[in-house]
Amino acid sequence: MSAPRTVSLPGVTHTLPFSPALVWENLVFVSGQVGKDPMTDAFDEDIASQTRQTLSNIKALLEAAGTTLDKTLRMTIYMTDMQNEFAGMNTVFKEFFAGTLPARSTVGISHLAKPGLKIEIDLVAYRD
Amino acid sequence: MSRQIIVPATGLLPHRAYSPAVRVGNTLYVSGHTGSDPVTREIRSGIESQTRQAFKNLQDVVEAAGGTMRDVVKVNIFMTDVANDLEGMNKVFREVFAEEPPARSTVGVAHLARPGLLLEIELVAVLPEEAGR
Repeated sequence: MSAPRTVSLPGVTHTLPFSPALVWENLVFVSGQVGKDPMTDAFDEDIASQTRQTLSNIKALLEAAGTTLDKTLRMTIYMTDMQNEFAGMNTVFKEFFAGTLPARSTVGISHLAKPGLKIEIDLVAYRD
Repeated sequence: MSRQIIVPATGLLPHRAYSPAVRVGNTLYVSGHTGSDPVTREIRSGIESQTRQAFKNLQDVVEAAGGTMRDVVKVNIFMTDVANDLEGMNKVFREVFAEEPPARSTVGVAHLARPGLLLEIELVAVLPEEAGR
């Protein structure tokens, strides 16, 4: 059995004390991603933009790990205002996921690491 | 695949309706643990102490399953005040996972099971083939 391996986005310095993603054999564990530009840390205010950026960040991490979004097995979505923004999130979600959809849980939480952040997503995917 | 309940050396707490951890195959799912003493339930003071105690409690469970903290692949952290406590939590996190750290998610929650608790941590570990068998 091989040891787990850390995966980061190419060209992005990761300073926090966890792995952006961890590959173990055929599984990829992606840490919670938010709607920040990975280079500048800037983020838009609205849920559609933040969801799109979050999923783009995840897509890039999965590609760095040698797989793709459609190999997602399960994901958790954390939202600061689920009642008002669930529909907006789902609209963008459908841009990224079609066909066999992953298992998913979505929960409303009180806050994220930075004021203004509305969504965080983590997931587990497989790779061939 | 076999499903095995894992109990730390400190034993079970009678009020808990769930298992400390469940192992299925080589994968170990560890329940959310907090910074309270596993026997007296006393809550440690401050974010660093609570984080250290929570990881100690988690480690006891992982070790009871025959693993080590190096086998941890994913950590979820629930915090009541991320803005103020993230730095203190990260400091201890770095001590626990000095290299090749696991994947992690951190979210702010409105409250935890008891007033005074600042964080709860759950994790998934993938154990070596023969660990604890």
